[in-house]
Amino acid sequence: MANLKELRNKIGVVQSIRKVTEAMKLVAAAKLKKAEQKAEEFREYAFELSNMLAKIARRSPDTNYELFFGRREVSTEMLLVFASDKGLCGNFNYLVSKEVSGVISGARAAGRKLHFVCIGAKLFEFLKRRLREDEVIDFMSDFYKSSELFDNSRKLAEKIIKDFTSGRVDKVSVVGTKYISPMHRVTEVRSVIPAISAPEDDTDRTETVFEPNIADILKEFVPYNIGIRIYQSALESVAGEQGSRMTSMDGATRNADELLTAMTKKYNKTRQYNITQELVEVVAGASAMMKG
Amino acid sequence: MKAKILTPEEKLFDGEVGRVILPAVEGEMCLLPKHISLITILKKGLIRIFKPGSEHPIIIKSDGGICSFFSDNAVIILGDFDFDN
Repeated sequence: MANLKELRNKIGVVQSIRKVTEAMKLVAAAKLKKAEQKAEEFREYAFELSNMLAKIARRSPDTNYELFFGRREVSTEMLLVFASDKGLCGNFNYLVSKEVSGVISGARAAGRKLHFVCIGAKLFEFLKRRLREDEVIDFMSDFYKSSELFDNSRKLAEKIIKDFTSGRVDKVSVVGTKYISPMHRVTEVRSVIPAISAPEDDTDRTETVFEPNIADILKEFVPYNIGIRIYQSALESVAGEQGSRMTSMDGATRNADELLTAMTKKYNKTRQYNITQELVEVVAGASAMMKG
Repeated sequence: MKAKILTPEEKLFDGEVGRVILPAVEGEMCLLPKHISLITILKKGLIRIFKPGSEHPIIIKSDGGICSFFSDNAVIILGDFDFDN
């Protein structure tokens, strides 16, 4: 039988870990609520903007605007990888890394060079290990700070537009998480440049007026839309991370509860055993004395 | 006809309207039902929304944005479009 003191210590440790995981769960739940609301509200904005772009694209198939329609020859592809800055969020980063691995092998099989932009510290080492000598990796620190997230996204958009127009990269994609519910999220790859999304269900075939003209509209809001897409990916990633953290900390708290029940049982049994043992000894001693 | 006004932070308006007056890039513009399909850039100014039968507009400030109008559905997206590229 295990030592009582040892058991008591173990129970104490599990109890304090349980307190930490429960607190983390509560914090994540509060943060998740905010992040979820933001991501969901923003989805409509991003969707409507992309929808307008798709409508313009449908009505101007011959417009020669690379930022919007993409380049035919792609030799370098930029990957914006959205991971988390902090750990203890279950398999959140693992799922992103798995998705990235798929994209990396696909791009290499097609003979493309890669340029990584790592957003979130947790996957930096992972990406660095997969880097070939002729490839580049950038790291964005403190990207997710909520008060600066929108500006950071725009700055990143400006940077990638510069890289694209100067010819350093020919295609930009995001690898990140799409938030569905606290229990459910999916990792996905989304194209940022070309900015055009899949053709929308757009049955309106009437003549359309563009003011001032298609070229000026594209020039004005395609760069903006790139920033919007990055911001949306970041919001989805933050919500996904908090959801993942909340569910994994909930699981950890439950495991701690199970462990505590089992350990308390064992502790009580041991205690009873020890008392019985002592009683037996006392009784045996007393009866020996009576006989004597 | 319907109108929807969105900003990155929130949805400012969504509902049935009688007409909408917009600060379009080439001058003020009034959208009425059955208006021709259009996509226009908006400049700084005031958007005035008139609910059906009402003569009192809901006024929303625009710092720039874009508006699309297809099949009696106006979607106005506002935002700070000045992009340094």
